[in-house]
Amino acid sequence: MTELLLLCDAPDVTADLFRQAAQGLGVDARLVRLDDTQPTLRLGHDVAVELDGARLQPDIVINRCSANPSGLPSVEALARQSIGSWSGRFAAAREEQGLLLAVLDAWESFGVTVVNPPAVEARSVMEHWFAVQMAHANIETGRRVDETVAVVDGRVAQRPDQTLNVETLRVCQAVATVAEARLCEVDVEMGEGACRPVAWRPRVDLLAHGDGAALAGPMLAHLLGIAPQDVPVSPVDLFVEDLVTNLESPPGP
Amino acid sequence: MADRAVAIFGGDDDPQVRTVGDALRARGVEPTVVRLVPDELAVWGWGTGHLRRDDGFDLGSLAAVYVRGVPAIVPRHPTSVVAEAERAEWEALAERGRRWHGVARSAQLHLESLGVEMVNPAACFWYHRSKPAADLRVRAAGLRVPASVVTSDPEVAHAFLDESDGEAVFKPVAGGGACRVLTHDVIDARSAELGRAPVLFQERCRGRDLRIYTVDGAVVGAAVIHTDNVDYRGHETGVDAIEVTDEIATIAGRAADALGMVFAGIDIKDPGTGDYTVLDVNPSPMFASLSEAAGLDIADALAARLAEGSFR
Repeated sequence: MTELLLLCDAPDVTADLFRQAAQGLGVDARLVRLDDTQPTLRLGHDVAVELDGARLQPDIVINRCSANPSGLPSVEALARQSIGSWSGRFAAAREEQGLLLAVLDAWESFGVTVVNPPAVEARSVMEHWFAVQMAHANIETGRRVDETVAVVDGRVAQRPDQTLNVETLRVCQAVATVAEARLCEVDVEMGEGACRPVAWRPRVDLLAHGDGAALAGPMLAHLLGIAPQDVPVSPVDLFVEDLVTNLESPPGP
Repeated sequence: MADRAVAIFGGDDDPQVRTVGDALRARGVEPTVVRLVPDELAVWGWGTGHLRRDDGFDLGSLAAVYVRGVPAIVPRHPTSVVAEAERAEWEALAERGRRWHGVARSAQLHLESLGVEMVNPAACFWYHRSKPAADLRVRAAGLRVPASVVTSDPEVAHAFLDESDGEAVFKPVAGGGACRVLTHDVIDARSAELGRAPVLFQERCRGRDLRIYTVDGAVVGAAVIHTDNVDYRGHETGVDAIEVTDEIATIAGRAADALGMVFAGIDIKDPGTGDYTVLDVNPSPMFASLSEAAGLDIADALAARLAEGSFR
């Protein structure tokens, strides 16, 4: 049976929704909250990641923790530290980040799929770099957030109440491509034609997409490679990549 | 006179920055020294084909940059104890510092995409945020690294010390701090602290401390550092330049390549039996005082690489 591990900083509603969706898909899912527990990493004859004395080697990890290799610990990582001094709290978060980066790297070296790797989180902090990449792709950035769009593997997951035009889909796909994110959400300013991206995040907040439950199953199924017909919730109106294909190559008369 | 424009990211009070600057000038290149602090970064103009300072200087036109360091803006507080009422404000300050760091790293990535040679590229510094992550890559290159465990569980630490026959050390996961001898008493005395943050425990490797400098994977200087301490830093009793064997040169080159470093300072333990262990691969090693003590010229090799595109 496929084993899914959800790694998160603290209580995480989206992670819970993915776990519930995994159960619906018959997938064994485990949620590891870093404010509760921390893994151990061994580098000896063997490399192993352990939790409470047992080896952890999932097939896929949905990484929702904020550890990133580009710089300093996030607010989420600082917030969960229990040390009573300011400097101690900062140092503890930094050390924990060092462990998590190595754990995620170790899993990737075993062939575990990590969605998303820490490098994606690092890119999310580099707003200037992102703005230049958007300019390079001839995509104008916006300021006002009208919509939040979830993207998985370049496919836009559209809420039932959303109607996104093809230009918007292309922009959101371009953002995910620049970010090298398999899973992300994009804040966009809507306009006459193409939308303008305002910001993006590697950690999707499913509650920003209705009740979130409708998207969790199809998105997770896609990441796990489960065929659409085996997904309990119909994916028909959720992934709109087909819409782009149809518009570019309309069916013949 | 070389026609390659070169910059150094770092402070001009840093001996490494000064010596590389001097070596570049000796080659006819006047380096631009840039300290990547918020006041500096705030006035830069970003574009698809340029990264321009407020004085009009385009960093995108540089041939190469020696990245000595990017300052980390860590929030300070006048008291040591966390007052919950101030917590949100302190966390906001920390986040602002993190974002500024992101701007500095953005500059590095942008310059890389413009074809500026970064010595070293940003990704090298990413691995340096986690010693075990770097060890994983060095290990994957077929090199020996110390057996280690990263944990916040005192029982795991006790067991590791036993497995290591009582010969183990501990050090920070994210690097920077001293390496110390591990004992069961140390674990017991610090078990509460350990429970709050993970620590890197490693087998203690005994032998000569070798520091090898490489440029493009080739050795440009090497020294043996004499010490009576488990960690030579701050406890050097002498330094001697050495000629390395082909085997050590190969190990050093492969370690630097494994982490994508153009310029590296590699720490190797030489037990005298040929079982060399790579302890650390540093993307921005200190070399000024060691060069002076051992009679090496690391700065010139680095300057040659920056100014000519090759150190040979």
